[in-house]
Amino acid sequence: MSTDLAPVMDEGKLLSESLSTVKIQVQQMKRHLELDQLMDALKSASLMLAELRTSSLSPKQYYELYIAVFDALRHLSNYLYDAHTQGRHHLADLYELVQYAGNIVPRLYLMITVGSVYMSIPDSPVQEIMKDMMEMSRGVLHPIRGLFLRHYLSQQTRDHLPVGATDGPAGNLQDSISFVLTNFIEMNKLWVRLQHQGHSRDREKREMERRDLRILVGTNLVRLSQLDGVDLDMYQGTILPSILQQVVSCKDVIAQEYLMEVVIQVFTDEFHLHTLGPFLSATAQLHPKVNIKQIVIALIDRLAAYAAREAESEDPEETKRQEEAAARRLAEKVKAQRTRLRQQMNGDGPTSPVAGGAEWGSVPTSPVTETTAVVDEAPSLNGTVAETTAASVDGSESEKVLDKGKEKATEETSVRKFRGVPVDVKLFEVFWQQVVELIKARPDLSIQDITALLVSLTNLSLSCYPDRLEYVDQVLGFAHDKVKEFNTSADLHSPQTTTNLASLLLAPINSYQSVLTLLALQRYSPLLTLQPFSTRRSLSHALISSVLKNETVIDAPEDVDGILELCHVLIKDQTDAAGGVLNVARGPSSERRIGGQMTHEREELAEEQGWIARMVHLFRAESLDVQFELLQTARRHFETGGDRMRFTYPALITSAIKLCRRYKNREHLEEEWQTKVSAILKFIRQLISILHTQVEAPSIALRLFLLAAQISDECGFEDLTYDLYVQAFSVYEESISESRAQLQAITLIIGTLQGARVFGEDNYDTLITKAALHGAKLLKKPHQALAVNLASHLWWQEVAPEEEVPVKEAPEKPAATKEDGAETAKAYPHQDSKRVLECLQKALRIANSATEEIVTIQLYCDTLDQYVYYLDRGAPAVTPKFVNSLVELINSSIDNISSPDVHPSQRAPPGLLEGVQTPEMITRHFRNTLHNIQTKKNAAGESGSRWDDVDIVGALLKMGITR
Amino acid sequence: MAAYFFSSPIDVEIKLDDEEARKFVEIKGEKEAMINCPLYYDEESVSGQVTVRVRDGKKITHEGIKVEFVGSIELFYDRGHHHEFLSLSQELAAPGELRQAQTFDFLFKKVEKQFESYQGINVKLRYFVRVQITRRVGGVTKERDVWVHSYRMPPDSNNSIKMEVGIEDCLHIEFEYNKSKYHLKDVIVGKIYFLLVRIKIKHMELSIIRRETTGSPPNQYNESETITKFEIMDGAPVRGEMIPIRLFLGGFDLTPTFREVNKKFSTRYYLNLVLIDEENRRYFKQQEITIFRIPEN
Repeated sequence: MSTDLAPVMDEGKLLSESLSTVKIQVQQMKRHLELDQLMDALKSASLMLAELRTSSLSPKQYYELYIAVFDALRHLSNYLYDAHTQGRHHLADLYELVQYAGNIVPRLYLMITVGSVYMSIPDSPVQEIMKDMMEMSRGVLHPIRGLFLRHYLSQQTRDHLPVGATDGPAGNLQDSISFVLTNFIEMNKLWVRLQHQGHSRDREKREMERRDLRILVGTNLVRLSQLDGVDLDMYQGTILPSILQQVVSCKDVIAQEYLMEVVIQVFTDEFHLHTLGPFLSATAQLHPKVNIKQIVIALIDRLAAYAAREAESEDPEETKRQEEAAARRLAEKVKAQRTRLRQQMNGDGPTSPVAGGAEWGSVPTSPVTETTAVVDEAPSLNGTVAETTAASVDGSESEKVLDKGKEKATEETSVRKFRGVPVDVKLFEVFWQQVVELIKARPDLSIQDITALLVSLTNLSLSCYPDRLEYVDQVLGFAHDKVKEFNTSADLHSPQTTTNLASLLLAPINSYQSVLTLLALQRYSPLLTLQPFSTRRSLSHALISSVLKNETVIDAPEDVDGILELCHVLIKDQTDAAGGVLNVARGPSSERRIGGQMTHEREELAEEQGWIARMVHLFRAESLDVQFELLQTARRHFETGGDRMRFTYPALITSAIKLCRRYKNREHLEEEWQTKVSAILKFIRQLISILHTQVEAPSIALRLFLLAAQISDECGFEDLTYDLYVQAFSVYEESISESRAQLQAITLIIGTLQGARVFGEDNYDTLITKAALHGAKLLKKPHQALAVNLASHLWWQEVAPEEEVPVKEAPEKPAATKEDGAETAKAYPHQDSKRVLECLQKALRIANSATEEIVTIQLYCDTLDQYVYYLDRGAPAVTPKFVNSLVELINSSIDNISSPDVHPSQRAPPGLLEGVQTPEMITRHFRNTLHNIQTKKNAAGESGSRWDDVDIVGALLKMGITR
Repeated sequence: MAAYFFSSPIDVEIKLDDEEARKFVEIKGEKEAMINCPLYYDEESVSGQVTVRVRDGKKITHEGIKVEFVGSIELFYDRGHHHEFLSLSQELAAPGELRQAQTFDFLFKKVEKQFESYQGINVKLRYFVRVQITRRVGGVTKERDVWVHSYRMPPDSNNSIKMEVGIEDCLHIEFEYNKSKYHLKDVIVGKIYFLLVRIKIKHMELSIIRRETTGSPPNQYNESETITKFEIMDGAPVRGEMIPIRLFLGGFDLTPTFREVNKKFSTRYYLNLVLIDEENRRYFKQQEITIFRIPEN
């Protein structure tokens, strides 16, 4: 440690010493320049530059020093320019003068300073200066010093590089290109050489230092890309070959990785598109330790991104047309492919996917020959493409924004393009060949790398060739084979591989508008099934969210089958699931003990099942029969899901109920709709029973039974409806034990039954009696009272005003119809005011027996409402006197509840006791009711209706209401 | 000069013709003083006036006044002994009396000046005009230095110097200087190829060495003087590397190469290529170059 620290400290000291020397000399130099003493100024500059001769600084510190010097030299440059233009010193003389400096580093810095200023002067021998500076710079072979010197050279000359086309002393673009290229090559050599200096034990440190310095080398490539007027021909003919040759021949891992990456990033996509062959074959020649996949992936990603960008920036109409065409082709292909699959399925059963793969036709069998063919082809294309692009590309200068000029190119080029890729550049095929070759040539390539490559290939294919399903399928098939091949390797289960495979499978999901397209990819699901649980799960999530996001309507049973098969992992318990779902499956009672994590997992489960449930609603078909088929198919999948049915079945059931409604709405159009609907209802009944018995979801089961009963009622199936009610009751009896839940259930049952119209008297009577009975048997008095109050409505079915009142016997004779044929005589609308009155009386009795007076009063008030309602509705048995006396009753005791002398404990604070209100609320309630009665009375006027007999004057007075 | 010390009653002034129009060469005289000498070329006439003034208006008798043009080689280790290889003399006045200031013209027509003036470490070759007033007591001598440059015709053959040198299995280089003969304002251009590098070289420099040889064996004196050290490479080269050389000579204080001047001395120039390795060992190769003068402009 100490040996390590000491030099660092020293370096720090050395650096600050050097910096202070520089500072002093800069001061001197500036003073001399002000006095026009050029020789002295140069001497100071030279002394300052001598600091750059040090060997004891780390690259970072040297950089700091360099920056200080660089800033200082700018003053000198400015002075030199002015002195030359004002005729005080001629730069040509100065260029010679500075060469007397005895040390090479200061000498060359000065030469470059003078030379580059000279280059900026019109009519200067630029070409010669460039050549000379480049040549003389060879003298510095020390890696760090050399790199910085050449960097200085490149920085200083950057703005003065000639870009003309004419020969002559002023130089032309070719000179500039070879200047920058040479500088690049030399810098790279120096950079690589740095690796081989010093002790081998410092290797890591040196590698780090080299990484610090790499930007210096890379800048040259950036310069090349920024040179105005470089066209494809030059790039293809000169620039790229030189770069690649240097990269390959330097045989250095860091350099190769970095430089290839830089090449990919700095040059335009246009160039890359036309030089794939050379680039990729150079890639294959790199050092074995080079992370080739990174390079290939970077290139693929870049081109894929380009295509995507291009698609966005294209003329919208053109894009639309192309996309539509692609989508059409895609749809046709999907259709064709799927019919073929279907035929296969129907015919000789599932063939192996590998054999099926041959159907795509274009699967390369002999990559070697085809590679050469493609590569050979490339140059011949350029003749046409290059010329047309050359004109338009020169606008793109900045290294990042390369695509500006490209849009023009797209329009101008005669070669048709799709998403910026010329149609005759077989992007995918070239990459495919190269990647396959690469994998073959490099058996040491790990599965991580292979999969990563494949991910990129998929992305490329998806963005550039959205309609070429076979490409994606090809990749998937290859991945499948590879995964099998590496079955025994531990790498297969490394997180990287898993992630790669996941993104490989994810890409098509995200890319295709409809996930149904996946079903046409034969080799998708085999590969999917090979994935570990977590991958499959996340992919299923993606798949479903894609369905939901795009609202993909799934309208064929096979599709439902396929999609659910792909989401298999969410639907069934998996053998390789990490313990989770299986344990959770067992009911709410056990989960408390298991604790936080489990609850969390439960929540997750609920969420993902919720998605599936949402997806169920997208299983929609125009044809009702098919729709039913869809649901049945879905059911077949869901029924294996264990506890998941809790979430999935309700969706399925509601969907089925919706289907029933659709049948009902089209009852005149659909033949035999009744048999079909009854079949569906039976299907529904089954599902609900399962829900009730297997996953213990009684309350939802109850509701669904009631819902089903309702629809069955609407459709007019008395027996079925009866049965459904019976089911609901049995669910209630068997499984609902909590008193509040019971109240709710009873309320629901009553509510539903009240609307039932299909029943004959008998059935209806049985059901409503049962319901009332259950209501009266609730545990808590207030609940009982509430339930009995509600139950009263069962004997008073009302016909909605818009409904046509069915022809009916006198409503007051329920008993009379009893013996009539149950089928024909409908109970609806069942009205029996005596029973109603009985119920209300009973409710009052129950209320009376409540322990707390406040509860009694509250219940009285509630019942009063019911009385008023029935009075209003004209129930004969409910007479005004009941109302009067009840009002009296409440009136007399309402003081008790609000009087302050009640013991505090009697006055239950609101909210603490369930269903108990504050005295104020009760009072207000009562007052409102009185108001209501008064209004009714007033409205009735003197017509002699029943309201006349209602006398609530006392109460009104007491409550302080004036008429 | 000695005249001053004896507080001679006579002042002698030597004035050369068109002195103002001539170039001057500044040379180091005795005691760090700088002397400006007018520049003459070979075959050029040397003319001027000698003015003799008598102090305090005294009358002075002399036994003749003469003016001489002398070329001499002075070897410092042999002080006092001046070898005069050229001596021309003219009588300005016959013995007589001097009453007042008197001016005499003199002219040495088309003097052949065989050698160039040179001032080295151990040797000095000088030309001067000497006026001697002979008296019985207290003769007066006055000298005036002039500087002489002479051009030689540019050599006919001027081959480049190219050579492969090395240490077996250690270092092989090939160097090339574009010429073997350079004029004073010339520029040395060359390159060095590294054919084999097995040692860690730190840097490489090219120096110009002036070697002055005086006397003749066995009493020969050699003095070497490094005119300049010029770093031409920084860092370790690898096989196949080519390092360029460019060295401007104009800025250095060089003389032409002199060989066996009057059998008294030689001044030769060498290019010394030095490679220094990481342990500061020096590997070098010297190569003589010839330097000559060409007419300026």
